Amino acid sequence: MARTVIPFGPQHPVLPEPIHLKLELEDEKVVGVTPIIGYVHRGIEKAVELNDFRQNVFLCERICGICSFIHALTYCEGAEALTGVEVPPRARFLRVFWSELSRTHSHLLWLGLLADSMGFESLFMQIWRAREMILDISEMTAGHRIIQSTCVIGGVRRDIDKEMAKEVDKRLLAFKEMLDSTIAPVLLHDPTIKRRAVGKGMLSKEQAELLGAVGPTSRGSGVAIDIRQTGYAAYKEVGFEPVVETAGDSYARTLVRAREVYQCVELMRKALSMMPDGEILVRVDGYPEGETVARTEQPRGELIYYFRGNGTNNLERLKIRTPTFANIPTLLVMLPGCEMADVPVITLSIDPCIACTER
Amino acid sequence: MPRMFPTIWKNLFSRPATRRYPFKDIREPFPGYRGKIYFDTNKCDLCGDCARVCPAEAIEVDLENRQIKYYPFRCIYCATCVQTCLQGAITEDEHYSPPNVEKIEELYKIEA
Amino acid sequence: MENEILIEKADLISAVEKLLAEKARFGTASCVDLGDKFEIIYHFEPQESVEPLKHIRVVIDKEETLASISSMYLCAALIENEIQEHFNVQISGIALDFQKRFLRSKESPESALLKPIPYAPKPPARLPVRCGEACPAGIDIPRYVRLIGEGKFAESLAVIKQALPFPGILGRVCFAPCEDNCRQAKQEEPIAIRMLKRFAYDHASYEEKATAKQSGKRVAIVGSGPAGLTAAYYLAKMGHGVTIFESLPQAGGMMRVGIPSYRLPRKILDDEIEMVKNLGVEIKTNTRVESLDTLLKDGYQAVLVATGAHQGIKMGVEGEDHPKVMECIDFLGDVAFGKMVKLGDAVVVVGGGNAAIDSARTALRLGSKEVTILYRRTRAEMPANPEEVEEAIKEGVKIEFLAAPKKVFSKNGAIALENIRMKLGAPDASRRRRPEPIEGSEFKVDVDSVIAAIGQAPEVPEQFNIEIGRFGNVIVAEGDTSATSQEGIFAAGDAVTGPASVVEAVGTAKKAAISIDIYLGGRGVLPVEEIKVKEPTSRHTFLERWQEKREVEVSIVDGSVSVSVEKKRTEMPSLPLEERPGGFDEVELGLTEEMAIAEGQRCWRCDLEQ
Repeated sequence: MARTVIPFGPQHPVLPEPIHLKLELEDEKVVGVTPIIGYVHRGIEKAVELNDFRQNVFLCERICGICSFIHALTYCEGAEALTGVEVPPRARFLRVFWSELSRTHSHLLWLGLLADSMGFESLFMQIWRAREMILDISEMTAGHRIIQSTCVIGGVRRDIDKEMAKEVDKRLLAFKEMLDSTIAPVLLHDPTIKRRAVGKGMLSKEQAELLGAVGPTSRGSGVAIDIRQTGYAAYKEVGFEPVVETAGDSYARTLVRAREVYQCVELMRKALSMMPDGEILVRVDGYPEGETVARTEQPRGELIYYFRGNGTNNLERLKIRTPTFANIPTLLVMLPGCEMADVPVITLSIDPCIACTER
Repeated sequence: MPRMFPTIWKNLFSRPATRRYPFKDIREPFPGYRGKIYFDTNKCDLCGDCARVCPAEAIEVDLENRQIKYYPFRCIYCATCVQTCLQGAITEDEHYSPPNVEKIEELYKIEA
Repeated sequence: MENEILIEKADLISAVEKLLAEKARFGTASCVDLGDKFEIIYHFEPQESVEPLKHIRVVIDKEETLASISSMYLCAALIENEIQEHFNVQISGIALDFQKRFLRSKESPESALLKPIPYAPKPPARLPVRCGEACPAGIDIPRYVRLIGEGKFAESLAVIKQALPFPGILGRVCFAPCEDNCRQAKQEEPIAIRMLKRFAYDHASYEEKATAKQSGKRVAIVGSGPAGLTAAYYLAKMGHGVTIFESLPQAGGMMRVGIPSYRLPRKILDDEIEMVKNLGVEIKTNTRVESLDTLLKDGYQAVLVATGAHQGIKMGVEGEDHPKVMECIDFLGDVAFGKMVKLGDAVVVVGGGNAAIDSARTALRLGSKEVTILYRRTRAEMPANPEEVEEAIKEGVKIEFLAAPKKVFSKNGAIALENIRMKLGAPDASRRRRPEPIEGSEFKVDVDSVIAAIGQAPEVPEQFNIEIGRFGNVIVAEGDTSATSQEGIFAAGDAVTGPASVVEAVGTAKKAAISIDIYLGGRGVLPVEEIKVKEPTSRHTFLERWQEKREVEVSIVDGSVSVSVEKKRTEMPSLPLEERPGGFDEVELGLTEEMAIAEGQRCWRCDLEQ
């Protein structure tokens, strides 16, 4: 059979960020795929070596827009381990709050894109309308809708006092109500969505473990791994269980993310109510020396930062491994065998954040 | 599809959810919004801390000529300079900065 | 890092196979450029994600080839491609080959992440500070102020001692140019640096370290004022034999005869002089030096002239050689050495400097009821310390501005003055407006004594054979080397600069000590002790400035909020006014520990980078 090579991307209405997939097709079936990335490479790992280690937080925040707070959080965790700074408890709870806010935002954005990729525009609009509520909370507490910029080495820069916490709680409940009434019935029960997502992009449990998939991609296949279980920031106090589905197809990954949105709202409300009083920022003394690895859970999976410092103002090396980088090999297994019309939905189901991948 | 109907019906008869920016229905940003910065020339003593701390190198402090240059289009609105200035000479504008057609620079002259 | 193994390049495959058998998952691989080698660290995750990572570290030379692990872990192919392309590391056998187009295009430059271009780590440095640059002695001010704020008083005293020998004296009499340059002075609340220096001296002790090896050279110092004693201190510590010749009965120079004991208690002064003597310095009092050449012949290899400025400047009015007209330095000197001085009730002091204020307050303490200061300009131009003027007025001294004496004449055995009013005209050389007499405004005053305190000048005998400058009778000395026109003779202190302050004398004396050491064959390095103490390396967080304990002034401009000043400056507790007359007890009582720590915490530490 003659094979045709069709490019998927780099610009595609479905993709939030550019990735080039060279698809080899026989008729309508995909038989081979080669990912090519490099459209958003900015050389951040190099730029980190040129900046003062305290200013790098702002650089790391801007690696990705939708998971920006968690990049800053991971950087701060590693730098705090290297300089021996202990973060006060109130700051840790606030970091949990903003992490979950980022996660909610990211999942909602993805759910909207998924609906859009299937052509279901009205659901896309309603989901993004719910996302606006989350962005309002972010603007109210952190000062900006998308890049929160509140995490610094030694704690957080802004506080949420009791009145603001009440207001946030009210808005979270209104958001949850909107989810329950307009979005969840459609997303979870609509037959069109099920026909386009169930059974597409199968990833078995063994394949997920061998390929090193992380995040909802692997949790949708039954691998119950979530780095929040290690208890960084205040997750030990708040308590946490990962959300797992066993089917291994795109619909399972959708369900994982939808259920995680509800879990995030609960975690946010819990973190705000359990916050102890105290200071939120501690002075940083000393310079980073030694090596360490910091791991956190991004909306897309596990984020690993490797630090090396040599006692001066600049870090010697910072290596960032983002979750999408680990999830791209799963495309090599999921895509062959499916039809061309399923390619957008399957590619989107790993939640590609290429800006993170290419740093 | 049938489950979307109640929402669609409701939205057909209610106000549009989008705002006609920048002409009508503009919501003011919440307090604490991070925007452009302004320098207070009476309080500044040209120590240069803000320029040292800025991650984007958007501030230049010239001690001999007693002036400060600020590049709003390099600025990332992180508000680190506001918090670093010990004399309290930098303030933030809490309004959204609209897009501009040319890159401007701002020059402040500090009296002795 | 924990859970790490360092292996050779050849053992890589077997180590990874072991991890594969334990069902570990692949995390990532980090590559670090070490200059001549590469270090590649593989991070693996164990079966349970809550367990810490396991690491394998491999170090290879730049030309060696590494085996790929992508046959076992397919996902490692991506990161190996990146390492291969960005670092130019040779890795063989990668399962997925992107043909050098992974994160790069054909036009990308080579070796993106290799060092050293332009990696230039900045070692932590300290910035120049305005207070430190204003100090003539070069004290590390932010460091000692913050050490007091942290409660480490002994280390703080050691930091001060790095730069000058007499913190006890300067903590009481220094005019503190540093405080005027403090950045908080813009908000009217400069740090009380001088009070903290006094606190450090009062509450901690310092042990002098052993002096250097004796060099066998001998130095003679003429004059035991602040300049002479400072130079003696440093020269003795550098190992030279020092002898000081002092013409007055007791050592101390202007510190003893010019500064009254209610500002500088005699015990403090004697303790500091004792400290210098304990270093092996010999002080010969009541010995007037007539000629410097005899000193050089007597076996001294170098001589430092630090005679100060004790000669009073004549007022230039008719009749001023009346016996009841005293020179202020003679008057204060007599009081300092315990001689009886009868002033009477009505005393007039002419002049506006610190000497005049000191004379006036001393006269009050000796029992005079009415002490008036006559100054020919206004308060704004008075050169005396503003705090001293305040205290004088509080104690009851009257100051007549814009008045000067015109004639002195005898009246019934007592003395009377004819004064004339002045008005300010055009500015003169010192940029102050010149006073001009107003015709016909003369007025007569009956007084019991007159003290002339309009200025001092150095007095240098002819036989010294050194060049004297034209203005103010000062010795001409090179700025860097303090050398005079004769070889082997150096000069420092008020004798060179004209009447100045204690700390400026200390500054010139330090330069002279370095210069004399070089002249005598040494290295010219002042012995400075290094102090190792755990202290902060960054400033306060901005949130600490916002805490409730600190008084905060908030201003709102155009809807945005800016916060300005912090706590107010500490006030020095002083002796109540009722207890002052009749006695020479010290007026300033000293800070308590809480006040000192609070004041030290206020310092912004402008010398730290962030």
